Amino acid sequence: MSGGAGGVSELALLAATLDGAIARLPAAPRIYRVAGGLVAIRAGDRAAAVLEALTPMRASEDGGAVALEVFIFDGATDKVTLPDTAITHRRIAQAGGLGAVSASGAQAFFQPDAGVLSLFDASRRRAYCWLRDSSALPYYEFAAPLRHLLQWWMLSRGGALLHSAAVGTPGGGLLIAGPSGSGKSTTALACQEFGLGFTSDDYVLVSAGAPPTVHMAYSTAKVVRESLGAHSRYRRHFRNLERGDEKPMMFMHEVAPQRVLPSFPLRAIVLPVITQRSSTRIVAASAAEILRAVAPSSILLFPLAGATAFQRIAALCRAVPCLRAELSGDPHDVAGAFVRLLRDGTIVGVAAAA
Amino acid sequence: MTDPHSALRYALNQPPVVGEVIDGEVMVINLDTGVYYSVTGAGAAVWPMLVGGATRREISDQVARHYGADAASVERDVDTFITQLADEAILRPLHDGAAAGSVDTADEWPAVTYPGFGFERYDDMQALLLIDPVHEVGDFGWPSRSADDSGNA
Repeated sequence: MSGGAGGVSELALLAATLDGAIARLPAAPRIYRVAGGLVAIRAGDRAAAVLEALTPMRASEDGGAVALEVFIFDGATDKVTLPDTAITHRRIAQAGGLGAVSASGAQAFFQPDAGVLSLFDASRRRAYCWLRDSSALPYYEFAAPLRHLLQWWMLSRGGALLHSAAVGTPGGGLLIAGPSGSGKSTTALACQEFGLGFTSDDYVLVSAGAPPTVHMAYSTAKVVRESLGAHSRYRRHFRNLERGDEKPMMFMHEVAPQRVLPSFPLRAIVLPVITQRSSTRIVAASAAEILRAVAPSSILLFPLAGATAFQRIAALCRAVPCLRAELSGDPHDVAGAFVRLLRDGTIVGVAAAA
Repeated sequence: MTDPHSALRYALNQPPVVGEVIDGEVMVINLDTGVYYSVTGAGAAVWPMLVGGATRREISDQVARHYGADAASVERDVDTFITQLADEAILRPLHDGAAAGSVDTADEWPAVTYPGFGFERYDDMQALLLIDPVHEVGDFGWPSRSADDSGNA
């Protein structure tokens, strides 16, 4: 992606502008434990509304050294205006890929439609998120806030943010890979109804290790609007039902706090495949098949994640068993198969199905 | 007279192209365009040689020798394969004098009959690069039974 003198000066200008506005934010940070590291987030009340999805990761302030400071600005109420740069006008863009800038160890990406600037400075362990107007954000910024910052931060720490659902127990769990519409969210939701812990329905953080560890990034759970009838039990928890063009979204720490699973050792990666089977069957898959399912959306929608994220995801696929779940049409049958996989297979950690 | 193309050497066009060999397959992504690719068969076997700077001739010879395949047809397959990769800007030619990388032996290739060169192109992610990174490409809902779906209990 872009760099060079222009990128350096524009990044520095943006960082300096936001540094200069930090005094307008409340002095007391909100502390979170994210993927094992302490993250201190300073934000005014209005901008802090985007942090709801991180609620299960709230931590005490005496937990140790802060690994990352995050500053969230609401352009409207904090009265922070960004300088006119090529980054915020998104003139710095590739012929194809998302426009983003990397220079001198810092990265920035601007989403013009949502009005969100993400800027990460690895050397200072600082991250900035500027929101043009937090009251006008699309729902996905509440479902998965700060995701570009978290991706860059995880990459700087040897891990990665992945586009995948995740369920399991403290003893071990599964990544459920696959493109949108493949049933990740519904499977994750059904699994928690069946007694498994819920770590993600969409994005997770993974840190290296033997085995790798999967961490919750967001407590968010979404369903498709057409399936609301099947999810009527959650109706009072949905936050955005009145916005008809959005996926209904809720937070697992409200729906079933006992099912929130902050992290687990990874036992396998499962690719759900829609079939007409009457019962779900789980079979071995090639690591290449899983990599094809996970890597494109984990990498291409995250500017500057690139080669490093690709290598990390490939390493993950080599490190654990790769499986394909041939799904029946019944979410609870699918969940039962995943519970049995964890309980009865070489994968351990589940005592019994609920 | 020797075909001048047979001495050409290539490297992975990195950046923006990245590739990983995994499970007998190579997955390649162009980070700029969002197009990704799968390379299988003999293409995956020769991948380290190819991006390591081996010539077309060296690759053809190795494939023909390893699989006991007809040299002329292997040579045509290699030419087609490399042309596809070059057309997609996955490879860039190394200029004269550029140092060639290491050239793999065939020691770890699968001992099977000649599988040919598999090459698949996927552009389903491409459109998403032009918008804000909202990954939701559609509300397909819970897997519904479709006549086109395969698999049976």
